[in-house]
Amino acid sequence: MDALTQQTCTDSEHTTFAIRLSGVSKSFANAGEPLEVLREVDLTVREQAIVGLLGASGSGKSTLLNIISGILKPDRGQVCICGAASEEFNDWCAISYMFQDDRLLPWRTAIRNVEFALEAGSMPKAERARRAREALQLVDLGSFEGAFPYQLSGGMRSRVALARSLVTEPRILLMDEPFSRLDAQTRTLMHGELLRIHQLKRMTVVFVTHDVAEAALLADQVAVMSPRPGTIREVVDIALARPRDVTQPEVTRYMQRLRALI
Amino acid sequence: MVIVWYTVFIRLVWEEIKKGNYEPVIPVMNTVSSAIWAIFAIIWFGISNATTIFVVFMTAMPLIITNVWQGTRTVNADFIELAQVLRMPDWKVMTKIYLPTILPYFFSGARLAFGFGWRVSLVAETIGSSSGVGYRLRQAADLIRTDQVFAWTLTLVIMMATIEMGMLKPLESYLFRWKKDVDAQ
Repeated sequence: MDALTQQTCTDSEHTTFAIRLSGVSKSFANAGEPLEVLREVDLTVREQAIVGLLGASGSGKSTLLNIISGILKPDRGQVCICGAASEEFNDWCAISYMFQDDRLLPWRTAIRNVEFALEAGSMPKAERARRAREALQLVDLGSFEGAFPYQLSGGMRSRVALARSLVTEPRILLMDEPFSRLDAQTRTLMHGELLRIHQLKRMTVVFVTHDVAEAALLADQVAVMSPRPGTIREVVDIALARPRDVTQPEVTRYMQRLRALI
Repeated sequence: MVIVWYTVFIRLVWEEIKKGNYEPVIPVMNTVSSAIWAIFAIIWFGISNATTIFVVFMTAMPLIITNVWQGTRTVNADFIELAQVLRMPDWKVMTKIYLPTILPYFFSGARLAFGFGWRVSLVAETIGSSSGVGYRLRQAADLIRTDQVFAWTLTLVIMMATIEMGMLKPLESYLFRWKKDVDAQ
């Protein structure tokens, strides 16, 4: 690691951050014309923090998440994961990605779906099954391990997807509008689940949302993004104890502030 | 006139193949009748088992290929992305995502091929073999033994029904138990 990388990936006190982006830019070719999706994005995520990326659609939130996860390479800028430059970082098991939809393989039972996340490597089958069972128990679905996705409700499927992203014991959990397709009640339930598991496992969480309430309820910090090209307009610290409730006046105040910023 | 059409047709198909589009090959193979394959087979292999095998193969193969082809197009890009995020190597993506997606299509193709296959093999045996059920049927017809024709027909029907209900159906409902049952609503 050269001196410059060292400098960007850790700060002067040599604190390691879970994620640190500096000057990240990304363009896509759109019908021949380059479309600038992200411009000079700086973002620092402390370890164990829950950070929300909030913005209207087209503000490059998902692209930013894909860059953090290593699926996309930025055109310019530096990405640091757990104190190492993205190019040198190789422990990708430490990062989990939860999609907008559950993406359960319909031909696999719940437990086999959870195991899927462990199948990229060479873990023995018995060990995979043991960990998958544990992960399902963590999301309160222990008794449904033999069920096929079509037999599960939307909330249960979401839990299986959550178990699948937790089974690798990630240090960083990335979520792309993970609960946006659920009904309001189930969504609230899943928020509670996520916070409970975060208390237990203490992983860093970065989630994308366009829902001001979701951001205000879950996050320690909300990075508000402006569209075309995506930049971070402001990072709002939400210094409130959890669990929070939308009826709390402080939460409502934060929501208003976030709404004004979008 | 026929030659002109022929040239145009072959040219069109060839152009498509050069573009990497193998799709027209299948209909072409499908259009060639089993009887024509049988005649070719007799010329090439004479009266033998190879003739029957060749005819069945040429008739059944396009059916399976067409179905598997359709299957590969239904592979969910989201699942591929999921595997990509998990850094899954390509061969595992093949076995864990492509294969299970294609399997139902392969199965229905194979079943179609099986149904066609035994009918075609009967014809092939009748004209190009010196053994087998088809050969026996022709023999019975030549000797005007209607009872034997009936007996062979019944044997065939029972055999095929047993394979269908005793093997294919149970296998299918086991393999595709993850599919929501349309009837059970």
